[in-house]
Amino acid sequence: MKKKISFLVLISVAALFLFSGCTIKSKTDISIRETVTIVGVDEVDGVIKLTITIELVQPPESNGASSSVAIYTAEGNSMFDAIQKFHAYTDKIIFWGHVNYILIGEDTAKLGINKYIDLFARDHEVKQNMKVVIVKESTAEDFIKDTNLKDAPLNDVLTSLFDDPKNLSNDSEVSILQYLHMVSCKKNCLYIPSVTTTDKKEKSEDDEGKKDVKLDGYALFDDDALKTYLEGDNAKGVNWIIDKSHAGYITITDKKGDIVVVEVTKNKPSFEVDFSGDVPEAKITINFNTNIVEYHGSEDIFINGQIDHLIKEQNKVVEEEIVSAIKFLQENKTDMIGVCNKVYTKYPKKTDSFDGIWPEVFAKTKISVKIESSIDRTYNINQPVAHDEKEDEQ
Amino acid sequence: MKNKKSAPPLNGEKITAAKVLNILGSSSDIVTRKVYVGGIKTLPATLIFVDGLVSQDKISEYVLKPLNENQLLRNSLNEKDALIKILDGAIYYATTKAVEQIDDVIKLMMSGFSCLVFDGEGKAIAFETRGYEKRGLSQSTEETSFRGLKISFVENLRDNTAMLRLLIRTPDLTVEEITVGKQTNTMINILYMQNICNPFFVDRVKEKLNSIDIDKALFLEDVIPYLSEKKFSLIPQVQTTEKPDSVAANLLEGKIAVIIEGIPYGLVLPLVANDIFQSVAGYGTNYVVASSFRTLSYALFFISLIMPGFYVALTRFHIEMLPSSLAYAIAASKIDTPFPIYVEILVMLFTFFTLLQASSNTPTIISSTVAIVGGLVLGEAAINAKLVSPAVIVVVAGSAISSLAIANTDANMALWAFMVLNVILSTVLGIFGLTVGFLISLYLLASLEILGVPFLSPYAGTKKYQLADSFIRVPSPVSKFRPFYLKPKNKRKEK
Repeated sequence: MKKKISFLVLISVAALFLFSGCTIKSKTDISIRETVTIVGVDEVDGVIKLTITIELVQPPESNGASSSVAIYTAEGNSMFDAIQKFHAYTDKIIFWGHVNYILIGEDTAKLGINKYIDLFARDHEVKQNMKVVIVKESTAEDFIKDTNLKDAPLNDVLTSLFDDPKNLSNDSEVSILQYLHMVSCKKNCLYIPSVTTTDKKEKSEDDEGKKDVKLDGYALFDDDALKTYLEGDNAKGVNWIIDKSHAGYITITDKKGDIVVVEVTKNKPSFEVDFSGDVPEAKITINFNTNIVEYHGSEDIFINGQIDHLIKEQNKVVEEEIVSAIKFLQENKTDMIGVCNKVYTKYPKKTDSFDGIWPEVFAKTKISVKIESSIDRTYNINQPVAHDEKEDEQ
Repeated sequence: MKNKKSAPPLNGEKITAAKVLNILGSSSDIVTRKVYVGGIKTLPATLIFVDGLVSQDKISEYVLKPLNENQLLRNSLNEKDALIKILDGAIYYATTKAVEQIDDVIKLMMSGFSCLVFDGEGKAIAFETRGYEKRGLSQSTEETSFRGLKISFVENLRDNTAMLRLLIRTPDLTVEEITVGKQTNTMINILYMQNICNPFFVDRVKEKLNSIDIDKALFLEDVIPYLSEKKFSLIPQVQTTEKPDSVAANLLEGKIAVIIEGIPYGLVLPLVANDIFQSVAGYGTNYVVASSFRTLSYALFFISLIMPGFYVALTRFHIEMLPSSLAYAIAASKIDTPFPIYVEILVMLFTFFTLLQASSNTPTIISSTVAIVGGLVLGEAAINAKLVSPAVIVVVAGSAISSLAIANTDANMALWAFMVLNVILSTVLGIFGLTVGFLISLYLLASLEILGVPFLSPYAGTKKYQLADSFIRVPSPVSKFRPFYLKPKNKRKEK
């Protein structure tokens, strides 16, 4: 019995060694790898050009004396072909496991982006939470070279900006996994955040010719080819529906016309679909909570129906944003908010009849919006100094 | 080569002084004194004892003096009559034994008895005249005591059993004696609670001790392998403690203790995994604090078992699993260091074991210097010389300190062995290898049984109370049952 057990253990351990996915190739010490953080993809005349940023490992005592990021470009007939050429640029092994962003140039995105994402989706080495971003009105290479600064590597800037939209609520990240999920839902429109550049506001000697990065809403796709952009308040309106508006702000006025700024603390959108004949109807309900963070007036918010007024005002602003966004999406026949997905979930058989014509159906879909909100905290000051002064003057 | 002085099979023969001396040889510490019982020239006897093991005062005052002066003995008719009178109290002595086997004479003499041999009758009387120098009670040096008993076991067996008697004042505490070691004739006491302990444990331990056929029982490791179910296993199967209160607590749980003459430690069986994380200090403090420390011990055990291997696996195979900032920090710390991380880890572990060895082999005052030199100077110098990266020092030091937070020294040693195994497997196979190493450890632990009790049995309890004193220590009023896996005669300890 003991011999049998020993034999089984031996075979199991041997099998683990033989069938292990960890091959000699992947056994490389961390110190001899160079880590890619951003990959830019452009295609011109059938030639794929990749631009990568590599985070250079510097000794702690260097204190940032030299640039911490290197930018390399390589061309090839395929993504893999181009990747192989990078190996000539460095004596270390290029490691793709820490790629955070895949940037795709506008012209390239118009050709269709699935083929570029495919390589990253297949590779076991890369993280599936890396984000895809479209570069508006530029190539990925130019964008990377123009915006990568010595003191502020592009990777850090993008990370900071994508963490920040929670305060702006006009953009949100799309990871490879989310991308694949969207692609697998054929009738939904694919959307990816877009970035652009602006003139640099603060310049140092090293920043000559450099530009700032700006998040610019979403790039919308027809199948996998770039179709149009959703910008500004429209992007904000969509974020209310797709639950990406976590901590935005709304500027409204009180009864006297003084500015009140409220911060969104909670958003709970709900979405129902039904049919009116053969045409689907969608009913969107947005339920959000806010806190008053800034008030330019001196009235007591709790009297004279001020609270009700402010709630109506914030509902109005949000409704306008959402209605405007829906109008834009219907005009462009792009179902970014996932109406078809909701219809499929509730009426799976009926969606078969929409094959090939869903964009037209979506454009005609009646979408109603209902807004509910409350103001949780006013941080009210009962007797502000300014209030007393005004009374004295009267 | 056989020892020519080993005792020939003389049992059954008459005891004479000449035969005893023949067996004992010409050792200079054997003292013989010819005496005449009651001063009667026709009643000679020979008093034999081992110098150094006996109290000369006791012999002179309580044996020789009455032997010569006692009125009853002066009227002895013959040797037989004298023997009877002595045993009946003519020599008023607390421990007196009539001996008829020559082997028993030898054994008793070696234990500090003085034997009065009557050649004519072929018999002897042994007086317990022990009087050798021994160490007094002292504070435990290896196990901490927090609001608990301060004293520890000593070399003298009787002192040790007396300490336990004072802690457990009930006749149910049973002490049985077995002699082990052909040359050393070491006395071993088996202690258990008659009304609690599973009788199987007692029989099994007696069987194991009786089957021991060794020359000596001078060190713990002379006996422990024979008490263990798997003699060559690295995993401790017998709990070793120098604290009488720890042994007493275990006896009251239903375990069995073994105490060896000359060794200031108590052995407790069966040892289960849970015991490794329990310390006596934990029972002297509030249950919340004790439970927190015990839970921390479990966490530290796993940290020290896995951390070095995990670090090697992550930095060698699975860099993508590291947060980017941490990966850069590790890579930056590796700049200019020539060796791969697994070599650095193994070298630092080797250094740690070397320091332990050096500390244990040096006097206390010097060992603290060794620790400082090793820990600070060597570590700092290794970093400055770019031999190892600072992150590796943190990982190895963290693992080493974590392992030392576990009270059981034997378990620490097993842990270090598994730690090294995990590093090697992780070097070859990454996380996969670490998993294999972990499974091997688990297999070895799960397949171990001590006195029929599975090593991991505390965690197999199906009822809440069965886990009461494992991951956390519940307060005494709630802990009403003895460990279920010991199958004690009396399961309930409180109503």
